Amino acid sequence: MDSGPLFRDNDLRLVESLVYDPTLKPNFDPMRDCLVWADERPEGLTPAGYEHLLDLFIARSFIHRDLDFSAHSLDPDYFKQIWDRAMEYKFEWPGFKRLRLSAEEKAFFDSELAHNN
Amino acid sequence: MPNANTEQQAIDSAKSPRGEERTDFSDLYKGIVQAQQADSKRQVMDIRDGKEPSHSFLQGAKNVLGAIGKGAWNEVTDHPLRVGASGGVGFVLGVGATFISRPVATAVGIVSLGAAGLELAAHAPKWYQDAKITANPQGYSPFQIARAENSLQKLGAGTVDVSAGMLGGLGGAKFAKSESFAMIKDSLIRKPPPVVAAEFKMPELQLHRDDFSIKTTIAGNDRAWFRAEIPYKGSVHVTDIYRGDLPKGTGGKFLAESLLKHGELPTDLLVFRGVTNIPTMAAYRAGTDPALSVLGKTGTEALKILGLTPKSYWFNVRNGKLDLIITMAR
Repeated sequence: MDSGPLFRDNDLRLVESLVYDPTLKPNFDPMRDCLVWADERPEGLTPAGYEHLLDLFIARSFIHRDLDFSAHSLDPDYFKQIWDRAMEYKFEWPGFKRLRLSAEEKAFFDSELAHNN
Repeated sequence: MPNANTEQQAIDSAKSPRGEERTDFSDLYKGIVQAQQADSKRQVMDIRDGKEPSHSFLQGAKNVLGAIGKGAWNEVTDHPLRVGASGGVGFVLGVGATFISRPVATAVGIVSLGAAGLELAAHAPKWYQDAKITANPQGYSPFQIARAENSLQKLGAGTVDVSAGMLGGLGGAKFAKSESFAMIKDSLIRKPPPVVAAEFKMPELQLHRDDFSIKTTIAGNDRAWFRAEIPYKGSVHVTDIYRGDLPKGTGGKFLAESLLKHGELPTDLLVFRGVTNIPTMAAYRAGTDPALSVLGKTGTEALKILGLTPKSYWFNVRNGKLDLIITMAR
């Protein structure tokens, strides 16, 4: 497991250039069972940077589902470490403003989880 | 066998005092029977005294193995269809075992072993008794001997049938893992894609590309989204595929048309990267064939449309996530 910031150099600039849009509706990522908003994903990330962005989506979905990170059966430690690194090396990302779901977003998430699983 | 000297004495005593031969052989018969009975008693006494019986161990083993072998041979030559049927049933069960989950297969195996153990325990004393009679037939009636030999022959025949079933089972399990079987299974068992996928006309795709990835969106369908990275030509790593408002069963078509229009065909590898959805993780944990997972089927459908032949499917765990890797046949 790497340590240090999740995003560096141009990847960090791209992530921090994103602008939060509170009017957006979430999309459901069926490969990872998580919610994603269109303003959370910049163009041009390196493969390593994009993987860390996906890790943030997955880690945040544990918070959305009120689950402990250790509930992840493939690796109980991985997403806790990802989230800890994100918190330690503070950076601006619209996704951090969506740790709590509105009732409508929660209903959409539950519906998609039930529909896809 | 009766002692030869005692038998000769019986024959001699049956002769007339004048040494003439007699035509009535009843005395001769009685004498031989008495000699045989005496011989059997002597053998019992030999065993009690710790002496080797006059009937050798090797001869006894030869008798028992001969009876079992005869039954086995007769089963093969007289009932080849029955042996073949046992092998066939085993083959089918072997193939079928690959369709059930490991815990269920283990439970069935334990129950089967238990049943076999009970069967063995129930028959073992009888087989032991029959083997004793066949090994040392002295002192037993011809009927008892014939019945024991017959029982051992049935044991030999049953062993052939059980062996044929076990070999068939092993062969069936091996066949079920072969590519030939996978092709047959694909054509017979795999559910055909929904009719809508075949008839569905994909809306116009909007293509995007940056230094590291290719992307596809659909105008008017904001939730449809495809992204893949191309580490090298022929290797496509799908990081995102959202069907959005497209009909169910069209994911494979969306993937195929995206790749086709981007000019990036997965001629070497198609990888679904960073998967953590519940059905795929459940399939991984259950040891299910990755080709039968939802993403595996989406990949298969896309490859079929692109005219590519998948060779193998496997899961790889990396950084807390699953990669579903599909290699292509050359």
